[in-house]
Amino acid sequence: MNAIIETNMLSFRYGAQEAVRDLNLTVPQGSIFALLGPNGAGKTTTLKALMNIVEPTSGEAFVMGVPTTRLGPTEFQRIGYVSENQELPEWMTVGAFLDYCRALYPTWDAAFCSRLTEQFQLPLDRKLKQLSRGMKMKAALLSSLAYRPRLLVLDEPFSGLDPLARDEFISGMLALVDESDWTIVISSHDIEEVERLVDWVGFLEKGGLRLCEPVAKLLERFRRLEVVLATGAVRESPPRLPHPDWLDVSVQSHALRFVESQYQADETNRRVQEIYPDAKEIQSSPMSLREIFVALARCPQTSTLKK
Amino acid sequence: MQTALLPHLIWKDLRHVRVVFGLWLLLLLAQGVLIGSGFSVGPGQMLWQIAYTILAMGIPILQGLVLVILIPLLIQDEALVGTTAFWFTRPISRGTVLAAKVLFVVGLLVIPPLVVELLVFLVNGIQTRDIVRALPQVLYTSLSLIVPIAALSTLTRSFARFAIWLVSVSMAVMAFGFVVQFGRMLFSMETFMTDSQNTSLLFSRSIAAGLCGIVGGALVIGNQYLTRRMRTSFVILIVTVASSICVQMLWNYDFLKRPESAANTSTFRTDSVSVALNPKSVFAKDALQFSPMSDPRTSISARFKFSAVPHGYQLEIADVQSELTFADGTKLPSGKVTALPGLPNQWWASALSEAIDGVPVLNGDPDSGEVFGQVFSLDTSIFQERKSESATLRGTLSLKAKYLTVVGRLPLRSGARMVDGSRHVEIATVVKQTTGCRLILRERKLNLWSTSTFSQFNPLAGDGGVYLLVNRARNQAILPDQNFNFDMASTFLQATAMLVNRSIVLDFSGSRRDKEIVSVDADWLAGAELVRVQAESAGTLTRELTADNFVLSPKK
Repeated sequence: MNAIIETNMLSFRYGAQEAVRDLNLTVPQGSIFALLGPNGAGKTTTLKALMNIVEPTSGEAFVMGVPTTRLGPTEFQRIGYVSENQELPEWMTVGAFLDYCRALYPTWDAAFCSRLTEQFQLPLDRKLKQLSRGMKMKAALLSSLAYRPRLLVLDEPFSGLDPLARDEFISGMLALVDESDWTIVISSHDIEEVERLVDWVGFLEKGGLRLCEPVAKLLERFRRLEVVLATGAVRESPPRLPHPDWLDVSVQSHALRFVESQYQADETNRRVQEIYPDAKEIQSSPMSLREIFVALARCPQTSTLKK
Repeated sequence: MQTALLPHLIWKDLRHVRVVFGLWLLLLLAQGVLIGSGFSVGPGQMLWQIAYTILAMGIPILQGLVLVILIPLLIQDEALVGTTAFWFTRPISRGTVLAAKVLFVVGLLVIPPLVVELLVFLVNGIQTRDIVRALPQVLYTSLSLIVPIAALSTLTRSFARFAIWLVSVSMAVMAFGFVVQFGRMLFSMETFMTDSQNTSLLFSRSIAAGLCGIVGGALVIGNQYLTRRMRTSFVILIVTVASSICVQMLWNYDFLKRPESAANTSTFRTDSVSVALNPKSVFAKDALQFSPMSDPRTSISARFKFSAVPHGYQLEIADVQSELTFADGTKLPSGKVTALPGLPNQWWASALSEAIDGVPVLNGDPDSGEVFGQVFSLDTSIFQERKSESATLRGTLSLKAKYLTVVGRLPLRSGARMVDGSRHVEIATVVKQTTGCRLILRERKLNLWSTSTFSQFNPLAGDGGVYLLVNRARNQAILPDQNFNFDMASTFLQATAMLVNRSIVLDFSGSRRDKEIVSVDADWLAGAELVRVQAESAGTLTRELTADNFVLSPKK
């Protein structure tokens, strides 16, 4: 697996507060990678460190094989970065903004740019400051797509967008995914939207990486299980997790419900039988990325979850 | 650096600030036309004077204010503070952005004023030598405003924050400056007073402090663009502000002072020059006291009489080192003597007369060859103890010799012109009055640091020169009356413009202290011409002074 992004014990502090802690992250080339995590998990800071906007307190990171602290014009000609907080030159019209960007990129594809302008329905003669938030995000995205970057980094791209704008944005992205050989890194809260796009996922919690793997594998190994027990066997939730791979355990009457984070049908059934010999029935159901995210967010971090 | 991108970035910036830049350019041209056209208002036209003053003062102030808006707008378009600026993740190196901004500022904010001033100088007949001396001053004036504003702009991300910073830093500078100034006064009032009368030293201090600000500001800008390390930039900023203030208050190297060489004895025979002090002229007064902690001091002044000064020369006292020896053998050295600034109209009638081929100056100071000045300084308590005792005063006087020479003559009619180097003088109006006449002159000259004096604000002073009416047929010359006709427009303009067009009003009544010496009637004026006499430095000399029976406070 060729990594386009690699971090090694990357840390960043804001004063006394540790925003990112000993982060070891690998983003495979060609993947569409979602960096997920609750508020304050360190997603934006990580992306800023990767883009050389902030300098790491310790550790190192590489983007396209170049240390992030040395990222310069040559590398940024192949990187696109769109952030919800990015301040665009709002005094420019959309057309002037695209003209301004075009001169910065030798690989600027004017035809592609025109097509995207049309697709995003961007008014070229309107000033950026007169655009809605969604339109501004589209303008920023367009200015980061038109030169066909190798790596596209999107920091909370859906934040503040209404459902329609969000849908248009994602549709646009999906339409483009097939025609370019690129890597996309998206940080977002909006897991349902991201799920339609991504094939890899990383989960950040309190500045540390909790998991990082292909989405397919993640969806495969996470299952919601319901175990029906013999009458009177269990009445209350267990004080401790019956197994370290089980998350979000709850008990309802004679049924035990939990999330299995290392699901393998035979092995899981055997393990359940071992812990609950009186289990009468075991039902497993697949989980969405969102459900996995919620289950992970609810449970304290355990090292066994890291893959 | 991406050289190919520079025009692209500069063009983008120009489009961004075009309205404000256009306004600034308009003000620059208006100022150029106002100063360069030679337009000036006579002292009698009060309403026009007010309008002209408002324009002459208002345009530079407006220009400054527009720069305060323009520069942050220019710099903050590629903000250096925070993490949200769009250009951080675009393929533009920091060095390229810095180079683009520097080229913009130099090409569009520094060079145009230089060109406008150059044109103004050329149109107004300023000599090449003076233009060469003036251009660094124009450059300095531009940079001393632009660089600090740019430095603050690199430390802020919005105009509102910039404005807050500007006000805060200005207030801090004023507060810190006040503390340092106050400390200096407390430490030594006499040194403070002496320094504050030394024009070239004050200008040297201002320039050195300004250069400090420019260099420090440039370091802040460079550091912000190349490293974006805010802490380092703040440290540089604080050091710059503190050092600028300290230099402004404490700098002692007077690099503007013209080198004073010893008098050339082949042209100015100094051997026989002697100085004596008239003990009866001794006058004691309390020195200005600032610090309640320091002892009160008394300053002793007296009239010095110079003898055998060659014709055409006059002397000024630059410094006095003196010591008193009392009858009981006690020796008392003087404290620092505060030299009074030379009065601009203190001309020796004999030297003036020599300059105009021996024509007597009828209403000149009869005490030619005498100078009144401070000779001793001591604690008031000692003064009180010994004020009646007779002592011997020994001292060394450092003297400046000046040679008076005619630099221009004008027939007494409107439109008559005179050129003396870069100084252009024209008689605008001749008004015959009941006794004598009033002349309104238009004078155009360069306001250079090296020639700036306090007396420049006094139109009668004429910057080391004096105007006389000379009637050679009658062998009579007269000095102008000491009326101070305040020309508001010219006076304020001199504070802001390098080329000054000012009006000078000279009343020639032929009287001295309201007593008519000569009747300046139409006949007298018909045969008269206006002459400008200039004092040229003739070097320095020292003289030993001994005064026996010197009493600090003699009975009158």
